[in-house]
Amino acid sequence: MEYYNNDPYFEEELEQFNDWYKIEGINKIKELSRQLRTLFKYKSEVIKFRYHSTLSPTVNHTNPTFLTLKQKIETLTLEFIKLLKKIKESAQTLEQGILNLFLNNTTLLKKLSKITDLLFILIHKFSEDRPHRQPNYLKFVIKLINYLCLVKKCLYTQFSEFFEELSKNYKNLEEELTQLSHKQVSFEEVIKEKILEERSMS
Amino acid sequence: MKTYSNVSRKTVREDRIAICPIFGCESIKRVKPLKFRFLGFGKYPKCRKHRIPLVYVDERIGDFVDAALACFFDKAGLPPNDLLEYVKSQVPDEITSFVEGWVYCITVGRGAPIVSRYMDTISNTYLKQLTKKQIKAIKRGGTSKPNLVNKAIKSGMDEITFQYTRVLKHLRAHSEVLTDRQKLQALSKNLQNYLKEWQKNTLENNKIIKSPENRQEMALEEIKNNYDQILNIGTCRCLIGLDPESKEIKKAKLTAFDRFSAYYEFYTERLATKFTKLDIEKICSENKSVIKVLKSKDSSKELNYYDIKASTSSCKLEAIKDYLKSINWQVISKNWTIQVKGQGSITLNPYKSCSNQNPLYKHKKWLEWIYLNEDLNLSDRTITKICGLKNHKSIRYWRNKFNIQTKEESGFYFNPDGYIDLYMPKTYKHPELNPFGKKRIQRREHIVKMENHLMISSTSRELDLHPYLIGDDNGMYYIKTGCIVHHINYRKRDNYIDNLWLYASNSEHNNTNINPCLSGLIKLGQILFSQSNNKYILNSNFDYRNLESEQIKEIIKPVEFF
Repeated sequence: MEYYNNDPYFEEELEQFNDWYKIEGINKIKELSRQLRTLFKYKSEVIKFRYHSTLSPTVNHTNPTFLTLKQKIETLTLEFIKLLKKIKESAQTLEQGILNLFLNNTTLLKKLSKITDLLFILIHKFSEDRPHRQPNYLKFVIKLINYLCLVKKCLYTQFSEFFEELSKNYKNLEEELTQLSHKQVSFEEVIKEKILEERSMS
Repeated sequence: MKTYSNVSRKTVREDRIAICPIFGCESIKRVKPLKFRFLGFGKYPKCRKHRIPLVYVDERIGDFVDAALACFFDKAGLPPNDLLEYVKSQVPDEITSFVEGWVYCITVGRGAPIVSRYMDTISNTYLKQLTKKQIKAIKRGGTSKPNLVNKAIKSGMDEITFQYTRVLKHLRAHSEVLTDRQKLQALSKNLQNYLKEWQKNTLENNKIIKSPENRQEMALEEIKNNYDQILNIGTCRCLIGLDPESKEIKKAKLTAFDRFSAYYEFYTERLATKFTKLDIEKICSENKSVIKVLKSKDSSKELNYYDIKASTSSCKLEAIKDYLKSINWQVISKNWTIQVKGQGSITLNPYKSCSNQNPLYKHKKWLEWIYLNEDLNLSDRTITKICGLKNHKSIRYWRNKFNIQTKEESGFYFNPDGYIDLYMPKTYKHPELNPFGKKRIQRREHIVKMENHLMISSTSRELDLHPYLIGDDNGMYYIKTGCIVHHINYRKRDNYIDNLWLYASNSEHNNTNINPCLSGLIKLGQILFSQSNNKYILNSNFDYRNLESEQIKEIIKPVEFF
């Protein structure tokens, strides 16, 4: 045991671990797998949005749970944007601004970290609520995630590579959704095709 | 086979974490060195459930990701031959969109979402290895004694983070390199129905689903074939907009972990090979050449209007050209000779494509027929493309020269009430407003959008049963006159479908509880009463969102009387 106690390398490692553990906390250690799960959820939802042809008219597309969640996300996003603007005022880039906070303004840093976490929790929730039914909102959320990833990347340097990669994946999804929404389908064509297909099937 | 470090309390020098090698099994244990190198039980820790020796987590976690990636990107995951044969013969125009769509769905279809669940389990159980004392000591920071468990946990966690990033990198490569999003298109109903049937048949014939006990008697290749069938069903389900896991597979209790365990075996036995972009291109090009042959064989066959409508947009132009060749032009006009400046008289051939030598658009009857045909409903620009011209103005020039009137086109205008009104075509035969289609009526855009949305997203039966809709003889459905389409955000021109809500009547619409909300805003000072014009106005100099939530609650709470 003494051997390990005197090992300077191990001392340094332990310090790093303590910092890392303090930052992440016991409940947040699952965050990475949760992030991956949410990404897959959104990916599956984009696939569904692309290929799902029939949605039941009885299911309302603007259900109360969704609206409450939407409202919460929007309120927090407003706060988040205000904070980012404030941070960017004092630095050239957003990343630089966030890194400066570590030295200058820890209260703002804590606030930013708290809002980011809260937003991610809401976004995780939204991913479970069949978001392909709200494609426009889905696009907004994915755009927001990109900014959140940037903040997370700066806040937790241990996971910077992970969040950078995550952000790139979300950017791809965002591009895909933009393409999908730009695809203008003639309504008459769709209906005629639908009627024709139904007739040919019967 | 990869050899793992022998998990033994005899040989271990520091505390380490070991796990059951079966993917999905949650058995995890802290392996401590023996006291004085000989005192203690369980010298060779085993999984209690599976009765097999444990392996160190940081050595095994990479294998799980290897197996998962081998499963996602295996060549056997590309579209199966029997499906390709069907598409080739029945819907040849959809071959590219089908193959590209299949590749696009492959990761999710073959069980990618399950990867994070396994990682979750490991992270959780990993943390459980820490005692409360250790957690407290770590939280206290600097003064805590160095603990060997910390080092073990950290190295494992680092490995997990690395493996997560690895999965993400592969996923990105899949969507950036292997998938061509431009070629993705929705599949036709016929193909979708066939895919559903194919799924059923495959499930019925799958030996592993029928009787999982058979697995032990099968050769490894045969097992892989059966597993691939099951995985391909997942991809197929994604392609028709369903969740990848089907009931039958769930019933057979074939979890994704089973698949990854099996795939790890295939991977180590070198039965799984990664597919590349070249493989996808090869499938597409092979099939395209077959389609060309099929088309040349079928050229004698007459095409009809429905064939054109059924074809996809990319092939529509070709389909129209073929359709035009099949028309009996001699009935429409007997004289196909025209006078061209500088060339004298030319005899046109309407059964051939339009070209410089065969300028069909210069023939009055041909142009009149093609432009005014209601079924085809072609614009100047489309006719320009059919004729191989560069500018649509030449078609307009010839139309004017032949006195062919321009077709009525639909338009919109902003209503003084703040809504957008549309001029509907005569085909808009609302049974209550325009039953015979004698005139063109105006209709609010948001109502038309809701009608369109309901018609596209619902089946005919659902539309028939819908209480707020009324149908006409042509199979079109319209919102009844009493119903109200409401703008959720009160912006009258925000006609996105997410912002619209259909109410049965005006009274139901008025009962939206808006008044209590407005009174709240008046109390907050966001809305003010202007005495100069006796109206409520919005206070644009004030934003109630700047107030603290406690303040808002205090202001809007009901007044209590004592």
